[in-house]
Amino acid sequence: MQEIRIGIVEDNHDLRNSLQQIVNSTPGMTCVCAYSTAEDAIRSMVDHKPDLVLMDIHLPFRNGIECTRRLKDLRPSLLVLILTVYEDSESIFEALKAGASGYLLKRSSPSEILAAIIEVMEGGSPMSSQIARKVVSSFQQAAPSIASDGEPLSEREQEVLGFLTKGYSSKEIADKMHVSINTIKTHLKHIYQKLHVRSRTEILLRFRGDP
Amino acid sequence: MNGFLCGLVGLCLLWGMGSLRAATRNLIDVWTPYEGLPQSRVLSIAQTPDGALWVGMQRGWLARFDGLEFTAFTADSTQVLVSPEIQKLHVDDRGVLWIGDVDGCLFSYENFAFEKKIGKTVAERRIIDWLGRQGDELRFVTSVRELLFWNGSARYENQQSMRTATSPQIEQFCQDGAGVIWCRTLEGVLCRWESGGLVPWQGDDDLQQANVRHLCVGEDGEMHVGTDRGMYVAEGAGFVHQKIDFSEEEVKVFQLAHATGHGIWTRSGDALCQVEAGKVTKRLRIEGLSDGPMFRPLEMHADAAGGVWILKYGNGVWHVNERGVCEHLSTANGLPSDLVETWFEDREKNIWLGTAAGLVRIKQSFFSLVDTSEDGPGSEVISVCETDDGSIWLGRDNGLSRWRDGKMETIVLPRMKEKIPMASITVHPAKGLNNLWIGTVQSGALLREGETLLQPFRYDRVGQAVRVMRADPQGNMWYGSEFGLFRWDGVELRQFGEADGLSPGHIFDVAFGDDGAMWVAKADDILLEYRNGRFEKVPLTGLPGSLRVLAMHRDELGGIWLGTLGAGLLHYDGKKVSRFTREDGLPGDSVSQLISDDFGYLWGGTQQGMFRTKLSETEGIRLFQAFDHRDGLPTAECSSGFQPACWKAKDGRLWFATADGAVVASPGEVFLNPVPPYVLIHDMQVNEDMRVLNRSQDDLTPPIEVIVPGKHRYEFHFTGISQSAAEKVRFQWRLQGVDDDWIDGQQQRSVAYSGLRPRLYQFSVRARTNDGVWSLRPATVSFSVQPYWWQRPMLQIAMIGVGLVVSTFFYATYLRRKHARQLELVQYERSLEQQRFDHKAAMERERSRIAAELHDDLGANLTQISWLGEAAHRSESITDEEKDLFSRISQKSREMVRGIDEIVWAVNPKNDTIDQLATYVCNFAEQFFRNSPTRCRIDVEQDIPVMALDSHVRHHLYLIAKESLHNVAKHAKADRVWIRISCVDGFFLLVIEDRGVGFLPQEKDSGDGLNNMRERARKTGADLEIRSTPGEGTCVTLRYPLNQNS
Repeated sequence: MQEIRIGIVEDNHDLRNSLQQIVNSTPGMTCVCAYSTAEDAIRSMVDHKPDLVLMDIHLPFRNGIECTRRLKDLRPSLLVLILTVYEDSESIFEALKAGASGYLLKRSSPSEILAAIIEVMEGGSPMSSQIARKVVSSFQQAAPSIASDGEPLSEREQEVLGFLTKGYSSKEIADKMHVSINTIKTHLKHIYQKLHVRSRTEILLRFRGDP
Repeated sequence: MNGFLCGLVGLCLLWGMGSLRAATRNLIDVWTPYEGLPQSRVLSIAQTPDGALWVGMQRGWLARFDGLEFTAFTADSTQVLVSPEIQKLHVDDRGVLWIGDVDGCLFSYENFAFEKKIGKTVAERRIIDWLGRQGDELRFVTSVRELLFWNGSARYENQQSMRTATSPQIEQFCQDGAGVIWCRTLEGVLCRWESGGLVPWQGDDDLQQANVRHLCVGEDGEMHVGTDRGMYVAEGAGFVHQKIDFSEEEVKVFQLAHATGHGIWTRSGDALCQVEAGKVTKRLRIEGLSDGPMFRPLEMHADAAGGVWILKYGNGVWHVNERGVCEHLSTANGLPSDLVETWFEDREKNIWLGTAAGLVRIKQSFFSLVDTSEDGPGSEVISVCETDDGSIWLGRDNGLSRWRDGKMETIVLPRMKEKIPMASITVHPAKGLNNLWIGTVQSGALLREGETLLQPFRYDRVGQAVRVMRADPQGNMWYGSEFGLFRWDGVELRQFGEADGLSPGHIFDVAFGDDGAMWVAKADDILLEYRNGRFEKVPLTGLPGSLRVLAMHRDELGGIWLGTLGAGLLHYDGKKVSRFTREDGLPGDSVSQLISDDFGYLWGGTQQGMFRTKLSETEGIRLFQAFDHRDGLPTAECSSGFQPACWKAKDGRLWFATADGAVVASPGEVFLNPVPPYVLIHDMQVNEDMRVLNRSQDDLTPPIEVIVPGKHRYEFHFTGISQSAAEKVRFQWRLQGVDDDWIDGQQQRSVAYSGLRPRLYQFSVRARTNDGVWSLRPATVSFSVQPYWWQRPMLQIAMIGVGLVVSTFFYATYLRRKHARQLELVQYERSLEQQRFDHKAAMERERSRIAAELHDDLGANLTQISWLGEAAHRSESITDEEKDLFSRISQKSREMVRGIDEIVWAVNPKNDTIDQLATYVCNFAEQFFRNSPTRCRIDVEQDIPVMALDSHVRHHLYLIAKESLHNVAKHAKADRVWIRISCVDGFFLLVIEDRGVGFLPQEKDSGDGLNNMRERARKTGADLEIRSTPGEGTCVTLRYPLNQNS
């Protein structure tokens, strides 16, 4: 497997250094760039061609959600893993809509951080039941002006989400649906993608609608 | 030209990753006792004129099969049958079913009644074969080669007891069209039955010198004789040797089988020939047919399609189809057992096998499947097309495959300069022999010319995503997605927008007419027509408000078809629009693929299977033929969201993208089953009283059922017998006097009525197969409901009048009182509310500030400490002891972040709602149990209201839940814990339940945890119930009244 190129956006100097250290000391991963502000990241991160960015959600000025959105526009293939101190469903959900493919609590241990990076690279990291509920209801309620937005969830994606809202892990879902865990990861990836495309369209239409 | 060379990197090809599962066109369906078959060893099969299949079993008595369900007949239910082992079933030319059991008994079945014809004799006299009829005399063969003549009474001939040691040993009896019985002996001598005995054939032909191996009756009832010198056929008074171009091996005929219209099949050892008009028209060898142990003689049967079946007991079945292709069916490819007891062909040309482990039906499929399952994760195909060189291209979620010359190859497109993620690939042929347009969701459109990948325009010029690619008749390419509609003419990319009359919105699909017309399916507008440089909305009336179109197709007759998400199929003929749904016979209401074939049919794919309908049908009912896994489809789910998702190849075959590979249909091979279903009303249930009627469509003057007075519930149960696809038989019924017209009941096999007024009624049912064939007549039941003496019109009108007056009076009084109560309440609440509001606003501001400070400063710093600890822990220059210390520092600070998280949550006023509490409890539970052996299951009601909840109440309730979850982890030793949150009848309900070890609540005096919980519940006014039984687990129920603090 090719080396995973990782970028970091984190305003706290020590945290940033620790993260860099954790990543660089892991075989198969390398940290190609690290920034302390969203502005710096947007300006030059893409030149370093990272595969995945660890993004702090609370940044000064432009926050991590905004930064995620801009980076995804510049480089759609980029994967973003959100770092957050608190499990605040609302801002996490906003970050997912902006294009993030997973999130991670900062109090996670290094091995959990590395596991999450691998999970995101392979598809999408599993979401908590509460985030899954938010995704479900987001797809259910279409604002009238954008009845036509992106792709709806397929039946199987809905099934996966249904299990997630009940607190099942990916492995358990795979067993329940008689498919491999890779298939579940693919479904998760699609859910994240659709969520992103959907909110992009939403913004686009809202912008066009303004006089 | 703004295209530029994007990459010249060689493409890596992986060969042989997929395979066409086309070899097996025989669809095998199996019924075992799990599917309702009374017992698994099937010995004999027959079909009565009503189409019902009869199955005789070794220990399971007799069963009738209507295509869907088995009805068992035993000694108890018939009062006639004796033994559970039914050896032989036969339906004679008058439609009577003859049943022979292991004890030599013979029964008949006619008009729903069984009758015993021959009682117990000796077991050896069990019937093994049926010869035919001569006048009123039926002729059977018994297991000891006696002849049984039945004509109201039984007469046995060629009796075992009268035979001598020199009597010839008979191998086979056969009756010709003139009613003459022939037989062959073990020594290979042909004999003829003449009253009183067997006479060896002594004609002046050379048949006497030949060794006779097998007999069968031909097209016109003439006897065919297979010998070691070839075949002889009866002609006039003698037999004529047939001059057939047999090879030296083939001339030694062992076995014959005749099929109407398809000549005679002969078998000589392993060599098989089909002989038509004196010529061998087909010859093949079946390797291994006569090898190995032979438990029983081989059986050979010719089918109506022109194929032949050879049964080898213990080795399954060989099938040679009408094209001479041979397939061996055994347990390796779907038979439940290799011990095949019997073979039967029904009127619908299905082949049935009775095996030692179940009943088998074999049908032909016109679908084949391109298997992509070995090819990377997931086998979903989302787009398919054919280029001019005959290659079929399959666009996948994460890749591209090419199907050429029966081989599948995966085309790996290099990640072009790292800038092009290749996701959700759509394909469309480009100009040139094998050039291909590749659409992606994140990288726009790419052009593959030979082995080179070009990017004619920047990926974001088409708004990144391409979901629809179509070429117009002039050769321009069109792209559509949520970002709009674009056209590429080879030089320039043009976006269509407001200036062209096209408002922003998702473009679902595009279709073109021959005359330069173009249609676009788009969000909001549904259908737009492009004429004279402008898009005009096509007014479609009578449709649901928000329609999402998944596919559009313009057929050769000029009609436009729209497949929608959940709203069925639309047809617009230029004037009016018609809508078809599941109720009309579509397999599903989400139609995502549409295409027409060369035979005048429209084909479609849905999420529940595929369908076909005639294009030309304009009047009357439009019929849909539905196809699913029983027709050979690998999955019911056709892909959606991308176009082209189906494609007509140059050879006329249709390709469809499905969730499990690509499916190929051969429209020219679709077999229409002309046999109508046979309708039968089993019974009529009046309240609990079941009246078995067995009223069939052939009962033209049925008696009238009389029903006693009263309010009854009437339920009718009926069936439509069909053996090919009974589950797709659709019913219509009508109760004359109640229903104005036929009611479309779809696949429902019962219907209930109630509140029938006294009078005469007639209930009728008719049925239609998936192939659109209606039953010849409806089946009908007439019944008369008797009136009570007081059920007279005048009396009823008077009673209704009195009732109305009384109820109006009471209702008016009630309304007045209710209104007065409400007014009082509102005034009192208003005065209190203002006071509360001012105080609360000030509190909330303060709480927000505290939460923010805790969050931003303390939280961030503690996180930092934990990470610094981690960094130190990983450093190499320190001792193990120090490492341990650092590790504990990180651990502790992580716990503190968790603690602060809780405080921030409790303090922050934005969380003062019920749904926030629910969310937080669930998050806690999920994390808490994440790395423990206890699995956590969450069930939160979808619509928890965003209702205010006082912060101290919220905190207490959370702590109760937390304590309870801690108890589960500490004491319960449970493998599962269920958390259910809902709002019911004004109560917030939180239930935490486990199936762990449990405890006795009264003994747990030390349970300060429990006391804590109770105390908190008391403080908040919640109701806490803790139920536990040792060994059965614990259930904690917290009920909090929601209106309490408002």
